[in-house]
Amino acid sequence: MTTSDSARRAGLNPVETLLQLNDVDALLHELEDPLHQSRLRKLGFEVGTAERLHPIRARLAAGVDARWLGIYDRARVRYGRGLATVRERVCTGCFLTLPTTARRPGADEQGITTCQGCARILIWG
Amino acid sequence: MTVTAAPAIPDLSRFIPDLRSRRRDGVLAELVETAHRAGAVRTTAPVSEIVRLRERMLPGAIARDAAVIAARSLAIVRQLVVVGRSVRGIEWSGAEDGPIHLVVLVLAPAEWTEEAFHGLLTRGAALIRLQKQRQRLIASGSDALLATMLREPA
Repeated sequence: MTTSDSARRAGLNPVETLLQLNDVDALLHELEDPLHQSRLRKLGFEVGTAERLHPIRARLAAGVDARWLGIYDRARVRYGRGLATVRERVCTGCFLTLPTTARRPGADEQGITTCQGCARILIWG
Repeated sequence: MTVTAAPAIPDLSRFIPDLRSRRRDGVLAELVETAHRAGAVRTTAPVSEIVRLRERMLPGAIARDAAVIAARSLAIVRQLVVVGRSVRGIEWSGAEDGPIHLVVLVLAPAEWTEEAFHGLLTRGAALIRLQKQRQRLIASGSDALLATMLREPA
């Protein structure tokens, strides 16, 4: 079984899977940080253990091609976020104006593009 | 002389007078769909997913007949607070005091810091913290009232 089989079975394309992975990572960070935990408790939330999120993260990560996962993880470790949205041809991660040769992958393509400035994976809005 | 129209103040809240669904997952989908129609959500599927996941990790039923749920995602374009009212009540697992009548959904883009996100979440939670506030929304909730309440000091 290849790495992207499980994501394909779930009907997700690689970008959607990475997007979910990014959201889960953000939630994990929020739940594991004692400062954020105390803020949430103050608001009245019952903060659950983040352990339950790890298998979900692992399942999503298994659905991403190893090459893209490597790029995502490297950018996440370096900047805190592995993905960045594109707005008005600008990467919202590093605010680099993308060259005109950079383009949104077509609907039928499964392509993923990265920012030439920060190497984050780009989500075209 | 060129006259240009000043940009409108972004619409940061939505009120749903009567939620159609009576079940938690249906209500969450309805709220996310409303945010999508308001232009705050790019695609509904990842937002619905993270909202459901967050509800599992941080149960939102923090007040007697109301719940707050939130999401911070790359699929969210801009911040939005959506409040849904259910006259009949919603079956909400984790709610110990019967059905839920008010649900607050707080959405923020992934670019927001956790501090900014928690600031917005605090404003969302303030809407339902006091019974007086909840009663106001249940009795005469509207887009205008919600916008006014969000502007009031938390």
